[in-house]
Amino acid sequence: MRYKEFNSNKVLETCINLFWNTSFGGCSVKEIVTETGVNRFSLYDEWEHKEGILLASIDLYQQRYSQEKFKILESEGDLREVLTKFYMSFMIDEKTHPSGCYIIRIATELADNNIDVKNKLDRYLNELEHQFKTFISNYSESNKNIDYLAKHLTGLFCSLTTFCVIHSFEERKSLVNSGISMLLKNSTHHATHA
Amino acid sequence: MPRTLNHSYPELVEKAQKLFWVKGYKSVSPEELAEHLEVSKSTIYNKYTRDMLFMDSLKGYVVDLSDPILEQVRNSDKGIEAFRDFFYMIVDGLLEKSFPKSCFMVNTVVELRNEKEQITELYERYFGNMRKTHRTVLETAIKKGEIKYPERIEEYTECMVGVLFSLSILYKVKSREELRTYVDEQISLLV
Repeated sequence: MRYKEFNSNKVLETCINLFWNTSFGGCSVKEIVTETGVNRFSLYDEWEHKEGILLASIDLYQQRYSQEKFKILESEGDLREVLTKFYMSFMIDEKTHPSGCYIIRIATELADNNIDVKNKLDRYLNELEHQFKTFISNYSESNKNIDYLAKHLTGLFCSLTTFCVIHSFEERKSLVNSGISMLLKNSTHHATHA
Repeated sequence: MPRTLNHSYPELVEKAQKLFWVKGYKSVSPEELAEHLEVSKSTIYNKYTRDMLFMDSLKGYVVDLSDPILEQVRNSDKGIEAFRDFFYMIVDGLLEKSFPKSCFMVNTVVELRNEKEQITELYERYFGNMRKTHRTVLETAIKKGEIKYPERIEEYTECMVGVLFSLSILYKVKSREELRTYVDEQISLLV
């Protein structure tokens, strides 16, 4: 076995930025080599092909960045406030990434024709919906209402991470508020954390 | 001898639109564009550039496709049912592939964000029209007495626009039935 001279996750981090900014299709392997400083044979040795790098980068993003934001849904507090905080965590430009969501960005480009990307998107949205369910079940909601709310909160996530990426901060916040209050208008929200 | 151009510019734009809509802007190299349009590379480099063809494809989408559909929706006197018709039409169009992909304008914004001023300007026009359309439908519905809390029209407008755009991702992984239920449930929040 060859000695690996690079840190896989570090390479994938660079690729997340690269694909996010230049699109997957618009980025050549040559650019990946230049940006990561890893030669093409080593890249192929690790991930087989360019698409292998992409799929691994999606997994890393989900583990490293989305999970951290999903954790907001584990915090206690007013239902609306926690939800707003969660959504807005995707809506702020960060040092490493622009606002929005990498997985939604890549899925917009590729999920229609690439089954692997489509499956990653599906898994991601299911995971998000599951997180919403767990979160809402801490509040006094009926089971039927939990499923319903989780589905529509996931829908709200999709609209926020698409067109909203070029809207102003206030407009993003306004959509979050309207979306949440429309869904919650019929529910009562007393936290029942143990 | 230079290759003569077999197509008029509007025909080239129409052809280019199909490619850009599916693949986005950055994924289409000038070489691929030349091949797709059956013109020489020098035509793309010197005469009809990738930027120019992209911009005109996107304008064409807004002016010839999106605007007329929205106008029809605005002119409907069906109230709340106009939303259902509109959203179902979008769902069907996406699943049956009568649109090559979800909204060309929104996908462009997801890809390019604020990078190109011309695109941002076009988006503002598009989005303004989108908002106006949803608001008009709500006003009609209010006149018909269908809306329970008419004073919440601003919030409702925003939410309905949001529902439309969430479809641009959800259709990739959900069935027609799931999408229709999703639309129905959102609409039922208005009444």
